[in-house]
Amino acid sequence: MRRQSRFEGWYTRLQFIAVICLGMLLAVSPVMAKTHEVAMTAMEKEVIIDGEGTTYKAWTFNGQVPGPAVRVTEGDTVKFTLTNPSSNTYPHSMDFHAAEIDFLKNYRAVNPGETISYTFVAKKPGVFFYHCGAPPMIQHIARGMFGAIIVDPANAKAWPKADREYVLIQSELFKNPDDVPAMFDRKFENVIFNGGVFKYHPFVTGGGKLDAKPGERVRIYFVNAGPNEFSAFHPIGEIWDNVYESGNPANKFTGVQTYVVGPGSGSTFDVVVESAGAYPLVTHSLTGALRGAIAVLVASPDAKPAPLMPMVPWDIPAKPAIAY
Amino acid sequence: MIRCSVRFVGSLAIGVIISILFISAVEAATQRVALMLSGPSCEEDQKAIRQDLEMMHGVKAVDLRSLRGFALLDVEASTASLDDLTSAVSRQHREPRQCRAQVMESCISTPQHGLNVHHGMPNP
Repeated sequence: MRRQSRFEGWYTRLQFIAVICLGMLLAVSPVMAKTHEVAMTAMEKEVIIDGEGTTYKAWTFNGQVPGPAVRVTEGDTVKFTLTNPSSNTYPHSMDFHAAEIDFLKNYRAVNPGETISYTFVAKKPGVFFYHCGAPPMIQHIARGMFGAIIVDPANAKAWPKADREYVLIQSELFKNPDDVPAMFDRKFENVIFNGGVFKYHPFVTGGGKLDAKPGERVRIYFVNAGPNEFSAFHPIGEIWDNVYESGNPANKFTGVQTYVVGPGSGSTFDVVVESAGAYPLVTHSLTGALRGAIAVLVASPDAKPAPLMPMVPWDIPAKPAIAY
Repeated sequence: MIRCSVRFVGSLAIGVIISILFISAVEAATQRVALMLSGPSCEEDQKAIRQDLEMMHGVKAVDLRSLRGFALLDVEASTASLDDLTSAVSRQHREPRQCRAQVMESCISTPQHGLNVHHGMPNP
């Protein structure tokens, strides 16, 4: 009787330890990782590029510039499919900078009427560029085939919780979308955020703004699509509280005035706006800022929630077609 | 022969009309003007300021909400002058200086805006 009860006692303790171990295992196990089906369609279509409704013959993912923001968590699997409809004229492809997979097999261009699929695990946290790599790649990016994928860290406590988040993608706009030599010669007409000239500049016709409340930690997932120019990203009237190179919480800088993001790269920027007012976010490469790359962050107590990429697509009436 | 000429003249006339309409549409492009408002009555007189600005010839939209302390105006570029717009803010009040408007100029003024500020827009 005594032996039996001792055995029962050990059994109960073993059960308890097993439950704890299982719990710990589940907490760190990749079993928790999700699989995301991400489907995009290459669309050759006109998009609005400024507040006056000017249209541009773009090449896009899903009909918008930038393409949709993809968001997963570190360790998640992405099952990606790109469709190039037969109504298109050109081959297209997809290169995810968040993926670590064979380029030859996965990033090849597919002709109109074809589809390509591949799978990757988002192993490293950060904000990463994605883009079409079909030749000439400089033209496919210049015409709008790019976007951002955010890979959130598996450990959410790896960095402070953001109160508000935005995705900003810088790129160059060329007057003639067919003039590839001008793209090689860096003869851009505008430098833009999220596909529009002064899209978030309230002092410009049709311009909007980015909203925040005073005291909020605003997190900007920033990607420079290029194709050629570097960005010197700076908050006028503020200092970046933290900058995370490539958006990885392990790559942390503090108290940064201006941070350079090269073409094909990205970084995550945190700023806590201390008081109500306007804080323009610009590339301090001024030929870029004054030609379109200004986004005004307005801090106001009555700021409303906003999507990751406000005003994408830019939903205003197109003006009568003129050559651009 | 006469029918052909009539058709030709008709087509030509329609083309000219369409071109004129198109050119008018292009000329009537709007421009955003940012006025910074300062003075003790700017907040309480918002409604009156809005009405005064909306009555100005060429003013298509007035936004006093997006940016506190500013009036964002969409104006037909060739119809209203900046002086007219700024004086419209103050002149309707008994005490003219209770709310004063200035065209906002800063490091984020675009080249287009800088041009308008310095040269002004012509009166109608």
